[in-house]
Amino acid sequence: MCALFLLSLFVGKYPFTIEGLLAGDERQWLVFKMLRLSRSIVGVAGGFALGVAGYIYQTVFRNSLASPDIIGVASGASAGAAFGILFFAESLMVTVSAFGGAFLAVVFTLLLASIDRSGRNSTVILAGIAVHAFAQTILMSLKLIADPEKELASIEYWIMGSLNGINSSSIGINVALIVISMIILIVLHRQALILASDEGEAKMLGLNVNGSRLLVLMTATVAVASVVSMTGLISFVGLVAPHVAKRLTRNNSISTMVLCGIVGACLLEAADILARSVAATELPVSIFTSIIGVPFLVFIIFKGGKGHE
Amino acid sequence: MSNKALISARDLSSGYGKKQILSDVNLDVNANEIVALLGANGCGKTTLIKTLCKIIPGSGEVLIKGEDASSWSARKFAQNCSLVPQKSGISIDITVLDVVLMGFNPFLYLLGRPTRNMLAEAEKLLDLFGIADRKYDSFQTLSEGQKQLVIIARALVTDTSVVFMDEPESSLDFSVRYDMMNTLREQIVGKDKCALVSLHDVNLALNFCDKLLLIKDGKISSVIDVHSEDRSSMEQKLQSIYGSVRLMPVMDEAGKESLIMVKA
Repeated sequence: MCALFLLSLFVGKYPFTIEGLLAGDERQWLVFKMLRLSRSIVGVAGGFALGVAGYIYQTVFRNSLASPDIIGVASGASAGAAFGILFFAESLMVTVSAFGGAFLAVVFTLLLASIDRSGRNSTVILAGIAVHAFAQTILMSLKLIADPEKELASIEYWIMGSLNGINSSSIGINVALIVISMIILIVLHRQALILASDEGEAKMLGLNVNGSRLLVLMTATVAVASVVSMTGLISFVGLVAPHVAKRLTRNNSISTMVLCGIVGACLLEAADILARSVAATELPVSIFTSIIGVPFLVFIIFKGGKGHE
Repeated sequence: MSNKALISARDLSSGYGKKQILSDVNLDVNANEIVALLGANGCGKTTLIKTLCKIIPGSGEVLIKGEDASSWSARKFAQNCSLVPQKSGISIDITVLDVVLMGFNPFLYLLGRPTRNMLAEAEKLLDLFGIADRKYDSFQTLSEGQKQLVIIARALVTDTSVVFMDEPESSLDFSVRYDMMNTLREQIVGKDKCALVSLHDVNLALNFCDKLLLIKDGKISSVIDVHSEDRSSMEQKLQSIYGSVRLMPVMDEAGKESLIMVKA
């Protein structure tokens, strides 16, 4: 992860050298601070957060296909970003609007799920599907009224996800939110594992099931919303990182949760390096998270399968 | 040794949605007693345990150690009562030792981690059940019977005063059932604790429990006191649930007599 972080500082359109930085070259310092450093930090912090959030969703929902999309975070953020692009234009407001969209989507999902007093996990997933569909409808409506030359392209580009053009003024607060969320989730790890049992079983282990589930999911969601509001949609990291980490450790200990974050950070950082270096123009990062993630996941599954034989 | 009631239910009724399963159940389980719930499939044994554990809502009164448990938090309830469910819902990879240590959760604060003593207790119970060598293996790699033993260890590790068990013997083989019930007696009797155990194996109930509560159509139809009641009276009560059955005395090598139920 550290190696990829350092490598990502030196890859890009505008070359700079350590000698140049040490010599105090103003242009090189500007490139380093405004473009590379912030981008590398978001790559590591964002990938880590998506990996850990994916682990939390998969554990709490007891569903290995769960990812941040499952409770409407991603689609809510897309609708929020599209709204921001159409009505505010300023990039900081697009970030704020995307964060608000993601957060609102999860609030609606949990509110809808709370109608069912049984507190079943499947209800939350069904509520997430409903909110996802609703957010998609809003997104399509916003696309219809968007200017095809400018705004529609911006919306599409945002949905494809990229670490390019991250608003540096929003990084501080978002990275701080990610760090706080990660600390809270590490503290709540024991509770998250108990939530992976049956409702009654978790209750008889002394857990306030509804309160704990709400706290764990909301914390993971704040982390995901902080990431997607800066980068747009980053697919696959939240799904694949926990699978890779769990295949490697074969358990769900706290170190596995941290490993999920490290795998996510490596995946996103590596994908971003490729996204900005394989073609003359920058490509959406999600293409590369899938290109790197899928073969790696297949390799891990294959290796795991052989081990079982 | 005290014989005060640790579990009391008064006029307990409950069900699922509009379907009522239990009606007006009254029971007392005293300290140092193991009480069996017996009855046909679907008679309400699991519902009774779930209602007493506040997992499903019900009307009436539940007293744990003489206190009204309805206002207790989940944490306080779990500090006093542990449960072995019919089947654990754990479906993720987690080590056997970590599953047993989950039992200490009600006694740990948010940032707390299991202490060395807790770890030693967990390992001791796994050793007792013969699965200590699997302690670092994933829970998912165990057989159903071994999983059940791990969940029983989780319930017994914390020394709670009240233990509820819902068909703990269902996945265990013949000899392990007896070992498990022996361990349960060692953990309960003489320690001012009690257990309410729903069982399908009547012979286990006859040989390891102090009282048998026979449930029919959501009500306790009769109570058998294993230590003081004569064989024919017990037979008569069991026949009301299981049809034409007989109780036969058998003697082991040490000359100890026990009863087994056979279908006539």
